[in-house]
Amino acid sequence: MAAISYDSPAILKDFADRHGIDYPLLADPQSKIIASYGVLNPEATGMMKGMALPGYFYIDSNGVIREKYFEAKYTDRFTANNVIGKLFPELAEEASQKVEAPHLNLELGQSDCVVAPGSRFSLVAQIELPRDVHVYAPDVKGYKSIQLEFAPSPELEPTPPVYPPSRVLYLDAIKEQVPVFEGKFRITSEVKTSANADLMKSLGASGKTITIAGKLHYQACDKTTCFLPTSVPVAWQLRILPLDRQRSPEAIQHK
Amino acid sequence: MKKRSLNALMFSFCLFAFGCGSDKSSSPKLVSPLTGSSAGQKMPPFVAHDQFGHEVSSETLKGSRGVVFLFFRSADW
Repeated sequence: MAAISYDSPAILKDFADRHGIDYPLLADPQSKIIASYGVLNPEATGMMKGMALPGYFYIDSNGVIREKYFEAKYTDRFTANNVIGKLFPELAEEASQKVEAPHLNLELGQSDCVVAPGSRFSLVAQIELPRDVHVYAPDVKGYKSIQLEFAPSPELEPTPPVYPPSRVLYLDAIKEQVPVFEGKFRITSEVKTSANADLMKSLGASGKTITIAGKLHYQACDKTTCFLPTSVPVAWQLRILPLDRQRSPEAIQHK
Repeated sequence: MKKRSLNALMFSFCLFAFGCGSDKSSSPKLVSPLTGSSAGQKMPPFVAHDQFGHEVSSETLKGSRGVVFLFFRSADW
């Protein structure tokens, strides 16, 4: 892992010392590396001329670029935990909490508990069904499918939840084939915190904690009985911190 | 990969992401969807100095599981 910018080694050392960073921060003051990776910001002028468009590249052990994570807006970016969770799930640190829910075990997870404005992180609903119990997948017809729904929030921009592949179950009693989920599975959603002026202003000097609220709708059935459709409230807590606006010492600043 | 150090690094960059003061190029319009080297391409090799003044190459950074490069705007503003 290494971070690259058009800053001088002195600026990077000052930043690393202030934030306790011991990973390589690489100086590219001529922006040659930045340009070679095609991420030179063509619109940057003045003291910002030469800066990179922010984002991540994952390069495999053979030196081939395998993944990249960039946003269209410079104010938005993936969190490290989100990227790590995608690339190396075994290294992901995911906070989790159990929620009471009829007929299934429900655990909520999130890639990050603390973020900055404009951060793209992930939320998870992990579901475990008892043996011989199923819930209906979103593409079912005529039954109540499982659905993770978020309450609207001016501070958040969730993407539609992603469901795993379903399997087709043949219901002998009614001679029907239906798409279902069984056993253990996860519903995930990527969420971005806003970076607009209203949110920035509301953070003050120390930030704030918000609740990401939603509902999990589903109908569980076993071999003989379909239980009543139900909706379980779900909620994640998220702390949003204000941006760090401290500059480097004046002698080494970009001018 | 040390999870906690990596997270501290990334979080610090996220907090420092936008820069402060006037930023004429930072109006929140969309820049073109990236752009940049594509998946499947060989990584452009390089040599650079880190925050300690040590010379580091892209080859030495690449471990047995590869490497993640984070490009960020600035650690100054």
